[in-house]
Amino acid sequence: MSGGIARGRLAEERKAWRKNHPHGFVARPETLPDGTVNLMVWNCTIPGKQGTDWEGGHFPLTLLFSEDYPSKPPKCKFPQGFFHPNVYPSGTVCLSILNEDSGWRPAITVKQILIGIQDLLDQPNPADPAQTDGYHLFIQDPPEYKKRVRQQAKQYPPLL
Amino acid sequence: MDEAEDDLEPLFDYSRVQPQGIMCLDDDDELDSSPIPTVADRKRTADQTDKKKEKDCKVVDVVQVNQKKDEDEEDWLPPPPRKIPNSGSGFIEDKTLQELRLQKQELESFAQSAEVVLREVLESAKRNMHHGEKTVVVLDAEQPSKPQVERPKIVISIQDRKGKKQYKIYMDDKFERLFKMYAEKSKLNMEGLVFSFDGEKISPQATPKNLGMEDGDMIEVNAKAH
Amino acid sequence: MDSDDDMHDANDLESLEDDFYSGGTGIGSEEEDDYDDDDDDDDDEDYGFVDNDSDDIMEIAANRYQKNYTILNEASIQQCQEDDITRVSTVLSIPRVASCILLRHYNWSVNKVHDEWFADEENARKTVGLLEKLIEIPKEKELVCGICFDTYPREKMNAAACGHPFCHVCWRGYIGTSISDGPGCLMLRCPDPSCDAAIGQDMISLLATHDDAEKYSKYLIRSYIENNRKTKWCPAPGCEFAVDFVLGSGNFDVCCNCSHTFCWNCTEEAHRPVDCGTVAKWILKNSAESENMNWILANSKPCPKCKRPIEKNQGCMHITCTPPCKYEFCWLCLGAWSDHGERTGGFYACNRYEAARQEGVYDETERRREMAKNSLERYTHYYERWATNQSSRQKALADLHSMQTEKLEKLSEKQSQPESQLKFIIEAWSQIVECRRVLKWTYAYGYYLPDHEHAKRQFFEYLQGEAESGLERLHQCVEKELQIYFDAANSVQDFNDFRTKLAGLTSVTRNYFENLVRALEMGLKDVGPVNNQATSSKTLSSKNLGSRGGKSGKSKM
Repeated sequence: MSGGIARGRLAEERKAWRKNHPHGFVARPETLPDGTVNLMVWNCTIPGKQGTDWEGGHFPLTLLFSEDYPSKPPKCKFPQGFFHPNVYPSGTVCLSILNEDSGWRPAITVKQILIGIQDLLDQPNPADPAQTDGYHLFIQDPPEYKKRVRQQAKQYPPLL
Repeated sequence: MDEAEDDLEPLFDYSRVQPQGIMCLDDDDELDSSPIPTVADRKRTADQTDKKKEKDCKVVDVVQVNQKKDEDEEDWLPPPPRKIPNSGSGFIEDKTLQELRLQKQELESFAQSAEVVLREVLESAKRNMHHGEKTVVVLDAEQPSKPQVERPKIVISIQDRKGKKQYKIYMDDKFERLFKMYAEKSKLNMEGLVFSFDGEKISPQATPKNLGMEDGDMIEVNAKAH
Repeated sequence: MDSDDDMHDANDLESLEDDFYSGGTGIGSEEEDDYDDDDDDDDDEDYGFVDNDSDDIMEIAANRYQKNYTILNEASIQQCQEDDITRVSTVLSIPRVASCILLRHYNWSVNKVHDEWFADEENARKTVGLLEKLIEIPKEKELVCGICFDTYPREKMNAAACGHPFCHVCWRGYIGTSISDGPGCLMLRCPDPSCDAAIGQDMISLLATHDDAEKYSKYLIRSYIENNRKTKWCPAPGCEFAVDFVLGSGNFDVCCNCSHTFCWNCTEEAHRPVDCGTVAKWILKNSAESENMNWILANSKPCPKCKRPIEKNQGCMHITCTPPCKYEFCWLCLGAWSDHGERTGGFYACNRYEAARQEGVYDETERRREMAKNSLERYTHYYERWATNQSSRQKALADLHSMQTEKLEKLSEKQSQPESQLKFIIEAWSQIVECRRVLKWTYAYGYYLPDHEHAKRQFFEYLQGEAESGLERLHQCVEKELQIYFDAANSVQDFNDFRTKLAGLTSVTRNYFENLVRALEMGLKDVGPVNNQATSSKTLSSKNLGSRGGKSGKSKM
């Protein structure tokens, strides 16, 4: 029932995105090898916020939508091993608004998700750690944590 | 925005556009491997392309067919494409282009014919003019109307860190001119700017058409990374 | 268990019972309920093992007759819920839907809702998502649905009190998804991410499919029972009754209308006199024991004193058993550590063991198996008896059922007695069922009763033996002695005598078991090494009875 609207809604979101989106962000559905567009997987880029240790990084993020979208949130994945307290070793982002049991609402847009994740980058949630590396440094060794964040930002320079 | 719409009308005057075919001959493009077509060639190629394109991917763009020569050419007019970008068998679309076109195809698969699509594009252009909250800079105003065949154009916005502005541009017009104009207006050196669409750099030689752009699309500008 | 001993004890008591019968006959034949009150007195003098002062009697009587819980069926649950909603709605002057949302949020506690609301209405509204003023849907002709992003005419859109419009299809999907995700749908909010407006049952009925709306109502009912501190579902499989319990009333035993008895606190089957913690331990042990048996056999030795299995993973041979035992011994020879030290080879060897081994005293594997068996045997002893009583109870339940459904009618014909006059037989069987349950749990009690508290253990085993023989007698009476009345019509006098006897036995057994339960629940606290010599009448009577019941006590060892 609600699953049927996933593609229509994603097409609309894509339309809206092309016309307007926050500066520095990229979000576009993937193109399959045969040239068809798959609206259910979006390749995105989140720029690190200016004035933070994340600045300069353009972090690739994949949104995986299910047929239940927007009843259920998409799964959001950074590359495996992404350094951040709230990102699982698999790269999956742990964020309240992306949790179908608590924060997710069907009116949350791709744009809001991406901005939410950009905020999360510089404001990790220590109450909800998803990886040991990032979490421990964040808690126990802030200078080293900063260093690692800056290093990672350099690993993801702008594509242009 | 009503004004803007008024301004728009003459733009559909096809006659203004015709000279461009010749004016650009000197505009060398390394990427182009095919020989520069003569006017006649060009006409023929255009026709073919048009049909081919319609058949292939139902893309909206309408290519002028009955171009007249040497009329009303003005300095500010964009140098016409030396050839229709996707004409010729040797032309290989880059991946982005293909992708974008396919996206577009999907989004507009409802279109039954070029006319239907054109009508819709125009309508949406008008709607957008109404709704657009930013200034529309009309690249080619003040033209006497000589409506014959329409050369489609779209509104594109350029976004920088401070905000976005809208520009009107022909589908087959190279971005170079738009970029130059933007640079002048912003008092920046064009060499230091990178324009991108969907995360990919836009070549000054590309046109909205060969990037599969649609009315209302937004491109981003950034200072070049050192 | 040695049943001869039990029977012997039972016979000892016969004369006392006779006293009781002669005292009770006159009243008993007239009005059966009167038995109990009178019995208490007679009983305590003649039969009881624990002395009751009059306060205790009052307490027992109260426990027995005043149920501290109510059994609710679907209709009465709904009624209670409606009543609560009405109360809140009236007191706060808010619509019923709003009052339902508030109650759900505050776990159906009317008082909590009142407290929160009157303390800070604004905050309460904010917490549960009740807007003070209705916000209308934007006045445009056409609106974009925030979920599917399609455009619809205004009249095709719906919104909660917050005015965020969504199309019917999306609402239905949103509500449907939430309902299929579980009871969380009762806390549903507006789909707009920045909005906390609650979605109440009115919206559900208006927008959800019929099936979803039904499911929602079911969740609402379930929540009323499950989120409420004072209500629980009966845990019996397939039972749809709920229990409304008066909190703080002490006795947790609940008997549901489906005849399942359970503990309100832990929802395991009723387990008095054993406490919930012991029950949990015992159940865990029963489930873990079989798996662990081999391991224990292979790897552990029982403490030579308390027989609990001990695993030695490293370190020296000086072992100290865990409290309360604390026995210190040598891991190798299992002798007391007090005999060890320098003389026997220090902490890592034992020359007593070595010497004995040389002489062939220890056959290591044999020995080890035997030790493990000791510890297991102890457990097995209790477990077997626990399980036997469990199955006896099942059997008694079946007998009770057959009595109720067919036999009673036959007897009524044979003896020309109305069935209502035969209720005492049903009561006897019910008592047997209950006694089996108590007896069963006394074995878990016994397993955890520390070995070193000898006086307590002895007394406990005596009481247990008495209980068993008393129950046997009752069982005998209702099974064997009743049989002749099925075969032929007897004189009315005969049958009345039988009635008097059985009802009396039932009552006596009930009292005995109630006292037993109480005594065990108090941890047999008047018995112990320290106050063994106390001069209270309770201890006195215990000691007296204890010496008399020595035989049956022994049989439990």
